[in-house]
Amino acid sequence: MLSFKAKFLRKPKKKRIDITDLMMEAGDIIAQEIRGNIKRGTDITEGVSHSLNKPGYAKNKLRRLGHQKPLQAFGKTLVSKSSYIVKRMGINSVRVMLTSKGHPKSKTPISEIGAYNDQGTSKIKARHFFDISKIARKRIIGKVADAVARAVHAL
Amino acid sequence: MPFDDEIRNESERIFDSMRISIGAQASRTAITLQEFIEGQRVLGLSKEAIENLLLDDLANGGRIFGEFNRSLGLNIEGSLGQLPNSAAEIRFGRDPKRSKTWIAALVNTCPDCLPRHGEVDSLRNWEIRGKPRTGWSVCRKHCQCVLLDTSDVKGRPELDKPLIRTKVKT
Repeated sequence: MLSFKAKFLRKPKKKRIDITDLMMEAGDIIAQEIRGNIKRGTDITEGVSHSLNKPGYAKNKLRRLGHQKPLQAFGKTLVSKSSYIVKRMGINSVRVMLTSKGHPKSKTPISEIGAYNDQGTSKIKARHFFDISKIARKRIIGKVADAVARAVHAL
Repeated sequence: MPFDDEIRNESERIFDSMRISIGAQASRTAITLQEFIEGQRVLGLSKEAIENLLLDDLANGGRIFGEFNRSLGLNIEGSLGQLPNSAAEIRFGRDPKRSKTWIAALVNTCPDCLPRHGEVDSLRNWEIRGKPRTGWSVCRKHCQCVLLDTSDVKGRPELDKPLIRTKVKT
């Protein structure tokens, strides 16, 4: 039996807010973003542009080829532009070939170039091919900040 | 099944495993967050001070969210690292009886992987014992070991030496 004082003067216990769901939602956004990146990599259709050229590359292409249309996918292989040699240039397409001898200039084997791209070196950072977009990053930070605010103010 | 479809199925499988890892990490961070908030409150910090501390931790990758970021990177890198190996297996056939040799990088190799270097077993048995980067070993998703066809390994003494990557001058 609680005494009169303990019964009536006891602080009411606040309900503890579970922030796991909010954190899980933030995690799910990251997972969905990466899934999208993977799908984009595996869904390349032959003869269709993979992505738009970057401004500097487009400018260079315009100067050399007379147009700045993006490279089309042939052979359904994602390659770094350093690891292929150009075989034929059309009006709207460039046919490239992977060379077993390695990089056209340095003769570095393709497997080694792949390892640099994948893991980076002491000077070259690894390429963030699967990185998440800035919009998704903002959404994730928003969710986490919301979780923090809710958990703190539920005390 | 065509190669493209198999790759898509494989990437979906890897994605599901990655999502489970990310979810578990998010739950763990939520518990750490709750523990931190309640602990600081007991010590007498105001709500505003706790919130500022946590938002600062979020912005600068401090103890709580920095750990979350690092483990996320590890999970994602490790999960996606399975994709090239799986793609190679799909391309060259997944015969469970195919003889495979475990090749370790031999540079900072973990105590779990080191005894396996040069060991020969069937693909089916390696799947049961744990393939590289599947999380069975101490190095977990950092594993740099590979399973190569035993026929490809024969007569290649360089695979018994540590793997050293040097930057090529261009």
